[in-house]
Amino acid sequence: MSPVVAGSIHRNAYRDSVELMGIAAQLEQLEAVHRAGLIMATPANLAVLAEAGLAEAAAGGAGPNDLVVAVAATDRAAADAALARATALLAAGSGDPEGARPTRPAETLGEGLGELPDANLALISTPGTYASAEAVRALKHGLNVFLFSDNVPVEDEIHLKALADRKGLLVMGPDCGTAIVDGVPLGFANAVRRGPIGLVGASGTGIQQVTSLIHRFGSGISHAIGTGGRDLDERVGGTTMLAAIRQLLADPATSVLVLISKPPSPSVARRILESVRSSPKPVVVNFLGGDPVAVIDAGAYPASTFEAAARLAVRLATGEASPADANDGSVGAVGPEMADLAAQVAVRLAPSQTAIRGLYSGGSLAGEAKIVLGAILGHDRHDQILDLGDDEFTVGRPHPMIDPRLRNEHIVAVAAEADVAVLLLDVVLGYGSHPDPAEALAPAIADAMALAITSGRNLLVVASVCGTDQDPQDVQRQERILAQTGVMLETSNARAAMLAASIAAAAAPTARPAPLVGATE
Amino acid sequence: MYIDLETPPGALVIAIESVGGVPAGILVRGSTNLVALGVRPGMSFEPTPGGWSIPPAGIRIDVTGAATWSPALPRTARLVRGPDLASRVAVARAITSRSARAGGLWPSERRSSEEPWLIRARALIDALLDGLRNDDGDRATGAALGLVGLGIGLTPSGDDYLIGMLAGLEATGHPLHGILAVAVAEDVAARTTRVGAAGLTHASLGAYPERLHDVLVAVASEAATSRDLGRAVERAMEFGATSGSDTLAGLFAALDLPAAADRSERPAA
Repeated sequence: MSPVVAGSIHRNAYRDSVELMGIAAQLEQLEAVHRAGLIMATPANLAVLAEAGLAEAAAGGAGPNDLVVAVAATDRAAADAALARATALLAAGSGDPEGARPTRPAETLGEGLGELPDANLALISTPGTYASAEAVRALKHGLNVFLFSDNVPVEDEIHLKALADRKGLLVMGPDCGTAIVDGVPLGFANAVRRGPIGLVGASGTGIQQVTSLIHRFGSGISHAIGTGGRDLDERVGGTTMLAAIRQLLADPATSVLVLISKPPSPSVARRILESVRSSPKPVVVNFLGGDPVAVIDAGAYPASTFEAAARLAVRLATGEASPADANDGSVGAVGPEMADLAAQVAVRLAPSQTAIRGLYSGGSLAGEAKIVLGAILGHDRHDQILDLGDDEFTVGRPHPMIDPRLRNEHIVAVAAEADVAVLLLDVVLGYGSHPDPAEALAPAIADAMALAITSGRNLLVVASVCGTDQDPQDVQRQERILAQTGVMLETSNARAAMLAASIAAAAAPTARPAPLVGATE
Repeated sequence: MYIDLETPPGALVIAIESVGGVPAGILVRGSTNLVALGVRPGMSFEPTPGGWSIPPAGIRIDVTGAATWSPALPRTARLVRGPDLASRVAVARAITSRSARAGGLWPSERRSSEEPWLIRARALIDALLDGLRNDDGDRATGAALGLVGLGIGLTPSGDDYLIGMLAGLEATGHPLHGILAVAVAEDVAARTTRVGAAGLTHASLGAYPERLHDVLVAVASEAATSRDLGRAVERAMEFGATSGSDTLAGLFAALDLPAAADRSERPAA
C-alpha cells in the first residue's frame, strides 16, 4: 500500500535549518511515519518535494516565506498525528504558549527545601548579578554553598565567606567548577573511589588531575573541596581554604590532606601554612610555582606538580612516605627514557619546527604546563600555552570541556604555523565534560597532522587524559582513540608537558637541554 | 538576535552589536533582547525624522549619531592568488569543516547527506563551478538560479552559498562575477524567502556582512596569524544555524577557482 502524503502550511514562519531538521527527525521516529520534511516553500524546494513524491503536502498555495511540513505515513491518522506533533514542536520552539511545557521544577530555594528538607548544600549557578543574594539566602537557611556562578564581585565574595565562617559553613566559589563532597561529585568532577585523602583546591582541573591520579594510584578521596580561584587572594584571605582545612583535620575519614592552588599572596600563604603547622595529619602542598622551603618549614610536604602531589599523598596514606620524602620542588626533571623518546621523535621535525603550542581546556593544567616548560626550556622562547576555557574564549559559547568545536578550530589552525613542533593537549573526562572528547578531537588532530604534512612538516601531538576507569567516558577508550590517531600519550599533564619540552629541546640545539636528574617520581 | 523586517528592495535588519555590520542593518549596542522588546520578524516599520519606528512593537529607533559602516568589500579584502593564499584557504576550510553543523551544505555524519535537496544542491554546485572554471556563463548562471531558494531553513543554504560565492568572485576579480550577480538578483523575491532575497540582492550590489569581510581580510593578509584566521572563520560561522558555514562554503569554492591565466592555459577539451 502506498503511503499517505499530508502537509501543513505555516505562514511567515521563520525557523533555522537545525531546528527544522531536528523536528523532522523527531517526526520520523513516530510509528507509521515513513518520511518527514520541513522546508521553506520556495520554488526550488517545492521542486524537490515534488521529486520526492510529496508535492501534495504543499497544496494550498504556499509561498517562499511559508514553511511546509510534509509527511508520508502509513495511513491518514498517522499522518495527521505527525502534523499535529510538528505544530506542537514548532510552537514549543518559538516559546508559543501552545507549546508543550515540562513538569515545573522547584524555582526558589524555599521550594527546593520544601521538597528536600534535610539538604545541607545549595548549588548556585545563576548569572553573577543574582548569585550573591541566592548565596546569602542559602547560608541563612544553614546550607553550605557551591557557587558555580562567575562574575560575582570580590566584595560580595568577602561578605559571603565571612557570613559562612560565622555560621561554620563553607562557600565553595564563586566560579567554583569542581568538588566532591562525601562522594558526591559537583560541577566538573571525576568518578573516583572513596578513600582517606582529602583535598582543598583553588583550582578546578587541578582538583580533577590530583583526584584522578590518586584513584589511578590505587587510593581514594574523602572530600575534595573547591574554594574558587580568588580565595587565596589577599582581599579574600583564604577564608574557605582555612575553613576546609579545619573541617578535614576534624574529619575522621580523612587521614592525609592535599592543598592545591596557584601561588597565593604571601600573607595568605603564611596563614595557610601556619594553619597546618601543628597538624596531626600529613599535609601535601602544591602551590604551583610556589616556594617549597616555606612548605617544608611548616612541616608539610611540598609537591611541584599535580602528579607529584597525588603520588606523595598516596604514599603518605599507605604509610610508605615520611617527612624525609619531602619533594625538593624539582619540577621538570626528565628521566632518561623520556629524553631518549624525545630525541627519537625530534628527528622527524623540520628545521623550522622548534615551538610548542598548548591548547588547553583546563586552566590549572595550562598553568602547570607553563611552569614545566619554563623550568626545562627557560622563558625566552616562542612557546604558547592557551587556556581556551578562559573568559577571553568562552564569552557566549560553551566551555571547551563541553564543546570541542573551538579547540578543534585552533588545532587545525596550528597546522599552518611553520614553527610549531609539538601540539600539547589536555583531555579532561568526568561528569559535566563532553561525553566522548577523544572521538570529538581525533578528526581535528588527524586533519592538523595531514595539513602539516602537505606543507612538508610533521606535527607531533602530545596529550594526557585526566580521568578514571569509572568516568562515564572510560579513560582506556579515550586513550586508545588518541593513540590510534597518532597522539603521544603521557599519564599526567606534567609528564606530557615534560615530553613536549624534551622534544622541543632536542629539536632546537640552542635551547637549554632538559636536565637529566633521574626519575620524576 | 537577527531580525529581518520586510521592505523592498531588501530588508531592514536589526541585530545586536556582536553580529557585526550587515547590509541595510542597524546594530543595537549591548545585549538587548529584541524579542523581549516585542520585535518579531516580518513586522512593518516606518521612517521617522531621526530613524525608524516599529509601530506593532511600539519601538522607536533613533539613529542620529550612530556610527556608519560600509558593506562594500574593503581594499584589504582583494585577493592575489598564489600558494600562500591557497594554504590559508585550506586551513580556513579545514576549520570550517570541523565545526559546521548538520543541516547545511557541509558534509556531516548526520542524516543531511540523504536529504533530496542536498543531493540536488551538490549537483548544481558542481555545474556552477564547472561553468566558472570554463568561463561558461550560461552554465554558471543556470546552476546559480537553481540554487536560489534551495535549502530547508530561514535562509536557504543555496542563497548563503551564492552570497559567499559572489564575495569570493568579486574579491578575486573573476570575469563572470558581473553576470552571475545580475542573474541571481533577478526576480529574487519570488524565488526565495525574504531574508534570502535580501541577502542576495545586497550581494549582487557588492554589499556583504562584516563577518565575511573579516574572513576575506584574514585569508588575504600574509601578516594574519592562524589564530586571526581561526577567529574570523569562527565568527563568520556563528551567523545563523548553518548560514555562516554555507556562506563560507561558497566563498572558499570561489577562492579555489583557478586564476584567469591558468584557465587560458588549459588545453581545449
